[in-house]
Amino acid sequence: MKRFIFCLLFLGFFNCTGICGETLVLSTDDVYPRSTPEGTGFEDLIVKEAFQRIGISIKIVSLPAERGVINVNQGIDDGLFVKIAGVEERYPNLIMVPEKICDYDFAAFTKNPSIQINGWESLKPYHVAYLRGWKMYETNIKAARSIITVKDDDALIELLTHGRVDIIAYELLEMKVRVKKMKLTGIIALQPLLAKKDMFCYLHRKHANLLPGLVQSLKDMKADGTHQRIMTNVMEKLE
Amino acid sequence: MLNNEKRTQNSIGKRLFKLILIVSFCLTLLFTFIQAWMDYHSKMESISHSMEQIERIHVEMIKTSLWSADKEQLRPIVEGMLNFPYVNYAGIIDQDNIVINAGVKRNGEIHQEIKLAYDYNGKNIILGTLIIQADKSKILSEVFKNITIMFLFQAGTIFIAAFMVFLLFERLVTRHLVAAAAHLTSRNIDSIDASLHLHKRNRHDEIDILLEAYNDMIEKLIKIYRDQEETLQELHQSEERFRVLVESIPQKIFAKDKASVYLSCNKLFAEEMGINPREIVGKDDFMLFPVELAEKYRADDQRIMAADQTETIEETYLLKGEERWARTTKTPLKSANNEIYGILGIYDDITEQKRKEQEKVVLQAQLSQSQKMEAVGRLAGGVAHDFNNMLSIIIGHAELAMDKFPPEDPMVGDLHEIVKAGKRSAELTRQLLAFARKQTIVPKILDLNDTIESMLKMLRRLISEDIVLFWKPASNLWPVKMDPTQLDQLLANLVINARDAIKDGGRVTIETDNRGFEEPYREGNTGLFPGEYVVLTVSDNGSGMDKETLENIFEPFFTTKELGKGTGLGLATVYGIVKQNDGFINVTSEPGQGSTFTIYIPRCRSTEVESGKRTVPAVIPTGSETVLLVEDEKCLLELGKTMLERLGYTVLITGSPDEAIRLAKTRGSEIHLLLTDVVMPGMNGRELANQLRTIHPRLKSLFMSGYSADVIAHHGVLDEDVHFIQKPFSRQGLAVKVRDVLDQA
Repeated sequence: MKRFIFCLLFLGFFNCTGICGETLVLSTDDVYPRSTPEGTGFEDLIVKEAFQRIGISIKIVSLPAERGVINVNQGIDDGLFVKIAGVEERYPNLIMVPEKICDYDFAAFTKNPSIQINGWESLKPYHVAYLRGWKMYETNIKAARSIITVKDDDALIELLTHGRVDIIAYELLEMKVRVKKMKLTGIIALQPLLAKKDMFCYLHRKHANLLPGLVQSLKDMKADGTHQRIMTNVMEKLE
Repeated sequence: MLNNEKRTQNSIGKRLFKLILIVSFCLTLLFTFIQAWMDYHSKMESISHSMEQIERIHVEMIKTSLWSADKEQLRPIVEGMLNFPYVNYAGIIDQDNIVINAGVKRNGEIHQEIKLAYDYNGKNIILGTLIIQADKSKILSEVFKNITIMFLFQAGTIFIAAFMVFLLFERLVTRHLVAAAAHLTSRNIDSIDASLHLHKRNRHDEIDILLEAYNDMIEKLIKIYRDQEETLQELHQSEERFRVLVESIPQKIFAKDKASVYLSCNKLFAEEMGINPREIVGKDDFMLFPVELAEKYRADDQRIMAADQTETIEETYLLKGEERWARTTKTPLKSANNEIYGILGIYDDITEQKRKEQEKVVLQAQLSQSQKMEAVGRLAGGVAHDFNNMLSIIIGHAELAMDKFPPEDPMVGDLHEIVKAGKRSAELTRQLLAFARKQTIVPKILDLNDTIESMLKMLRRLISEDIVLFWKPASNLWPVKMDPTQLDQLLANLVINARDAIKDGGRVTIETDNRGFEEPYREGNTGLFPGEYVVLTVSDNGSGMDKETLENIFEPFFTTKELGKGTGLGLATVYGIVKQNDGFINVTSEPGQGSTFTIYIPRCRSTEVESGKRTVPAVIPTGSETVLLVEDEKCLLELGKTMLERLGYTVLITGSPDEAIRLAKTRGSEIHLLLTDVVMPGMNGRELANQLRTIHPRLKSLFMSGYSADVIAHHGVLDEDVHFIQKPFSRQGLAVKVRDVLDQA
């Protein structure tokens, strides 16, 4: 009996040590305040906390959106965040952690206060621009007077500030931070939002065993206020 | 000059033009291909360079874009790659999925794959593969286009250059050569005196040097030609003199080389060959003569050349079917350096000379025979006279002695033997005289058939019983003129000869025939003159004779018989008789095949044939007339007196002709017959008779002689109206002959 108990303890030790010693690599294409290179964005902190609660440390790397998905799908990276639900349909090696990390507000910005919008169809009379690779916009903005896709945020903002487009489509929080950071004036976010989506973390299929723990951790964090506290701490520090 | 120019189709200019074209074309082709090869490799290198450039410039950007999955950024990069030379396709694949591509991908093109690796998190991640494809067919097409243009351009340039070279060559060289050729063509060796001038400025180029050299050469040639012409003329004159000399020599001359091929000959030689002298040159003896003769000539030539000596050969050859004699002198022909290079022959037809020599030999043989006969004749004549006198005494006294004994007395038999021996001795003398043609004969016109017919009995007695004598007389046989006694002698000798040739039985055949010859005729070794002959043939099937025997059978004293069986005078007598009668004799015989003697006696044109048969009276005639007997041999004189007196005659005797004349003058009227010897000292019998006839014209004469020596005969033939009795004679013979003369009117 003693010998059996010893064996169980021995195996449990080594099993715990194997998981506990592993550092998973997760990528993200989000920027401040959601993610920072230092891992101080609220999404960074929430995901780290969630993994930490199941005893796994993670390393967060910043990758372009598509690259992040591809890397996980190919098993290069272990996971990514944050993506809307349904990404696994195109990338079969991805599994979604079915507890949202945060929301994404898909908004339209303009310098013309007279523009009124009400959903995707209402963009039709305008010259619209958005970032290349954003699946939400690529999927939904089909009809417009003209559609311009650009490579980066700066180009997008420049299109609008120079009056070359009527509307640019972007995530509400991030654009507000950039406008503020760039001290731009006259740029307003149109209401209502074009869409609001829950955003999730994805893991490679090999880590499917971690899903229940992570879901539970996230729920626990929401339940014990850790999730909200992290959000508040980061938002309060917004410049 | 231009009018005389002759342009050849195969001009140097054209050939130069063609050569330049061909060589240049080949070189152009070669260089074009080299250029194409270099161009191709250059383009291939440019593709490699483009690939390297793409790798160096774009790969990092592609990696970054690919890493960020920025297709919008990738697209212009990938599409931009098509701007690199010959790149027809660029694409990025990731695990067999095309991430992005541009252009058209084709199989078989130049293909490069670049792995797009990205360092991430300490790992080297393959993001995908960049595939770049270059259009090889485009390279080939461009290379082909380039070389085509280059080749056409260069070919055109070469053609123009070659044509220019051709024109220049024509102007600078060819036209001068053509003009020079026209100049040379328009002149022959006799008119080669004009210098060559060309319509060009003297630039001292190769043409001018050639022109000067040609004109110099022409001057020298003219001099040499004139010298040679003079030499040639002298040579021609010399040759003509030599030719005239050779042709004037009345002998055949020829020259042959070492292989016996004719080099030359004179007209006489060619005429004898029956062909043109030029046709003989080049031929050899085998083409002109029969093989055996040609081989002999060649052997002679080789021997003479090997010995290096002149040789004279006499030989026979056939010319137009006739055998000719030639005397050929051959001497080796030598060159200036004393090397024998052939043979010179000079020959003469000596057929006539040879014929004369042969005739001379025959004549000499005949002369020798004649001299021999003359000698034998002289001997026989000389001996015969005295010998026959002696025999007359022996036979006469033996006969007289027989009268003194009764017939049964043994002494009579002995005396008969003496008479027989005397007669046989007389026969011997007769044969000698016959051979020497000195026999005194009295030819008569005979029918040989009749004469021989009467002799057959006597002839059969000569041969033995086991020999059959065949007699084959010809019908209508021509008459001949001949002494029957000689025919007796002739046939007896031939039959005895045949008999002796037959050993154990056989046959002897006697034939007669007529035969005429219009041309001289040669049978065996006998030459017959044209004419008509009566042929008497005596043949046997005896042992025959060999050639050597045949050549000597007519020699006196030649015999093949045993000692004592033959005198060797039989056939000599036959020969002499035939010749004395102007006839010919031919003998054919071969050992074991018998012998045939053919005698040709000239035909006698007279048709009054006299009888050849002789009759002997049964009783000895006697008489009472007075006979003047003249004989210088005293014994014979006494014997004659006794014989005549016993026959009843009154006999006056004398030993000298002068005494006989005196007696005739004193007792001329008593004398009826002069019986005189022919050969006597002081006066011969004929002269004596003539003189006595002047005294007593009616005096009859009877000559007696052992050998008359043509006193009363001409070539042995007794003169007309001359009566003659051959010594030795028998009492009966004398009685018959005396009575016969006295009884004639």
